[in-house]
Amino acid sequence: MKLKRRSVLGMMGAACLSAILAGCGGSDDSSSAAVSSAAQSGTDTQVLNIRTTAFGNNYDVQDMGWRWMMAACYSGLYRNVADDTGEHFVLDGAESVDVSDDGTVYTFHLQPNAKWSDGQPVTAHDYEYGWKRLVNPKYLYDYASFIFNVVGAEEYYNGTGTADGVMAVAVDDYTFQVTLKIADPTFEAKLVATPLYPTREDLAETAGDQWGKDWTLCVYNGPFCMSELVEDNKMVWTKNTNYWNADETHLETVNWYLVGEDSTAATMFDNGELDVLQTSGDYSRKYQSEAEAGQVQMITADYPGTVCLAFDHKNGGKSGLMGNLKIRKALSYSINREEMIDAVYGRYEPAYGFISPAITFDGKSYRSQVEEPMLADYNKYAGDYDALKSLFQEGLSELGMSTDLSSVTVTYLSYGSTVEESSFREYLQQTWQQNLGIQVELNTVGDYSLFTAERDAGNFDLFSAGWYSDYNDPLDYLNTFYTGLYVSVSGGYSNSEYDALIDSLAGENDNAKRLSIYTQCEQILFDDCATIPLYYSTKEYFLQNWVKDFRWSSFGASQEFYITYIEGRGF
Amino acid sequence: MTKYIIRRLVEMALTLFIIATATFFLLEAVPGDPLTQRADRLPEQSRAALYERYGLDRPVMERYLTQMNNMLHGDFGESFVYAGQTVSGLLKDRLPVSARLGIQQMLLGVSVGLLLGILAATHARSPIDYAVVGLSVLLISVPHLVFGLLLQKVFAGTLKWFPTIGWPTGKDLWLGGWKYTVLPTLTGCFSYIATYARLLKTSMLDVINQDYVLTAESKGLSRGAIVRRHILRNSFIPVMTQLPMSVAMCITGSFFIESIFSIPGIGQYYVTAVQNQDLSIVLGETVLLALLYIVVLFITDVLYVVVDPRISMPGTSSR
Repeated sequence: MKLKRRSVLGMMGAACLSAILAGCGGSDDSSSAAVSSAAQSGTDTQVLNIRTTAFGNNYDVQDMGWRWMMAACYSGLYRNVADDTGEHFVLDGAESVDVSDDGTVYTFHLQPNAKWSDGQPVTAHDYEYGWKRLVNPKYLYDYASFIFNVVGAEEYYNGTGTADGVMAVAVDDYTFQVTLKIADPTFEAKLVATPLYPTREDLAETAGDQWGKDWTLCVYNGPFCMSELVEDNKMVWTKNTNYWNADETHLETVNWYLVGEDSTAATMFDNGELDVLQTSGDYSRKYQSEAEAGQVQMITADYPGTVCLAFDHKNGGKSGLMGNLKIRKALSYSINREEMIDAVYGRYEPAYGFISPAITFDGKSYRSQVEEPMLADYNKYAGDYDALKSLFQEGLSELGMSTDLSSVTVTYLSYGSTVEESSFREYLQQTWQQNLGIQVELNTVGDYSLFTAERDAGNFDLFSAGWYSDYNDPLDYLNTFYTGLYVSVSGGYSNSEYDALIDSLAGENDNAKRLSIYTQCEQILFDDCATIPLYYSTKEYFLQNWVKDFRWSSFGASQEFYITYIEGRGF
Repeated sequence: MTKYIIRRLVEMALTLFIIATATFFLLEAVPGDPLTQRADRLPEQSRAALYERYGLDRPVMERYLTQMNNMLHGDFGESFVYAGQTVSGLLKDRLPVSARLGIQQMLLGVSVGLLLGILAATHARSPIDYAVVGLSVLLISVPHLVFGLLLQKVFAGTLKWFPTIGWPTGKDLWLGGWKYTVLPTLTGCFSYIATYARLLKTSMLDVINQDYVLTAESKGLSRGAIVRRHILRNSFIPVMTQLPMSVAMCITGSFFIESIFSIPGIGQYYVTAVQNQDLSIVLGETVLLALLYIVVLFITDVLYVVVDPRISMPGTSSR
């Protein structure tokens, strides 16, 4: 067995850096006193106030539902964090990991000093229970398929196997071993997801169907514990002194306030009642300029989401035109992404590919390794609307239809009534009418349910779609265009060559080969103009200047406070 | 009287049944279901499992009968969207919050409204009257949302007199944490002020022209005594009709106010539940609010007879 040992350097390094950067202050907790230096003179309380727009009510880690918020209270084998260097994962509950030569056996050596908030040690049995619970057919968890590659997992889930047959087992109290059916280089990327976090069998079984619903029954093994909840109002987290790395956690309290209105949140941020703010539209623009003036801090980071327009690949759309490649290309290339983003959103990045720059491969952004596949072709037509009109007309001719563009009507299906959503619809309508001379009918419905009903009834040519990735690998994106898998993203796209390439990735351990296949797959999508990418999502945080070492993540908790501290607030 | 009350109780039960049935089937008629959005993000194979898990894979009539049967036993079921939330939990945690907010708004709004109404009626066609009428029109036409955000901006933002958001909970639920309640109470009381000021003014002006007021004036009673003894008492009947409605409505919460001030009340939750097509919660809340409304109407009807013997009950003899 070849040893592939990772060190905890990443995490320790970040923590040490924070200590060097003058640590936390005002804390009455003796454990953090050692880190403090400048803080001695300050009167800062280590309390962070942050806004959210929903609380959730799902405290079952296997259920993934509220991971973006609650994951910061838990700890899995790995923790995904992002900083100025991008997304990466660090060892968390695991101290080290050994991988067998053939890449099918992972042996995790757990932190021996990791404890739950009630003082019990976090053991390999907790991981084993959590993993087996995930594929237990009794619970039907949404993310069970995350570990179907573990020997016996899919069989147990489908009722043809047993829990004992699932090869995710505790070798001893601090050694957790997982055996895969075939080597899977994306496996480690999934370990940061909460469904693969440990769960306490004694508590979960006692709680029965209340597990994950009643937060008072929960215990935590991460940097914070939930200590108070007032629905629709406030959630309070306090520092978990039992967290294995608690010495590096400086914040004593994190207060989450549920603030629905951007205007209210802005008032609170201006007052100093909030330390971290996520907002949109005009408020975002306001704080962007304040950030430029140094009054607040701004963090903009890539987020693994790509917003697209999906074609009706199944039936060619209401107009019957969407089956034609030239027409699809004319529609896609006639949208000026830069102008659209500036006019409608005031943030995000224009997309000329499908896989987001936030996705990393082999430690580097996928997008920095593979050029956006649509860019070259798009640039050929850039701004030349006569050429695009001709392209559209050629498509019409191929279909044996009249080439009179003014008689063409394309239907765009979307939902939602926010300012951004309405502005985008109007922008799209105008852009196509002006640039291509076609008519655009907007089929706008109130909510997502009505949207799916219209979509399933085929009342559209294109609909608003997109993908937000669940784990950090290009495959999660590319899978969505695999025949029949995610029609809500692909619009029913089907290409046997594409499917065969995706199939060929199974068991492929060579990163160079994988990269080559990913590149080919994405290229096929754009040779076929399978989708219209619009923009890559980004995250935008505004922070008071006194907030230090704030971290974020795209695959674990959206906000990570495990090394965050307050310095210079004065209260 | 007993016969009447029994008949009304049967009618109430029937009304509730119709409301529950109508709500159930209306929600069913809307395309999609509470799980649509979640299911859309899952691979096809996991979707069936999700529907099975929540029992939404069963036929509509079967689910209707199960739901009705459970409701008869006081079990409205659990939220589809927010795991673990139930209607009974809602009653325990959220109703008192909305109730306190509503009661404060109503007490303040109705008192100020009545005072302004009296002022306007006793100074009819004077600048005071016009000011009250103008103010009422303004207060009733500007939405809560605008007032709320404006008060928040000025009194919490600029002046920092009150906290921007929040609501007293725990031991402070009913009597503590007043500073949190000032802005939401003010925001909500404006519509009461407007309604009651105009209602009482109109009603008083009607009474002022009655013969008995003229008689009182001719007897040489002072203006104050006439207003107190003769005008006010008689012009309160429309107010008494409106008041129980206000009481019923005030504890059902206000979506906008609760949303702006992050108040954990029932109003905000109800709207969200409807948006999410969260069947059990919508059904539970609708039935409970309907029940509240029907009971208040019933009490009002009974009280009418008790207060004013001239009003007779259908099916009974007042002679």
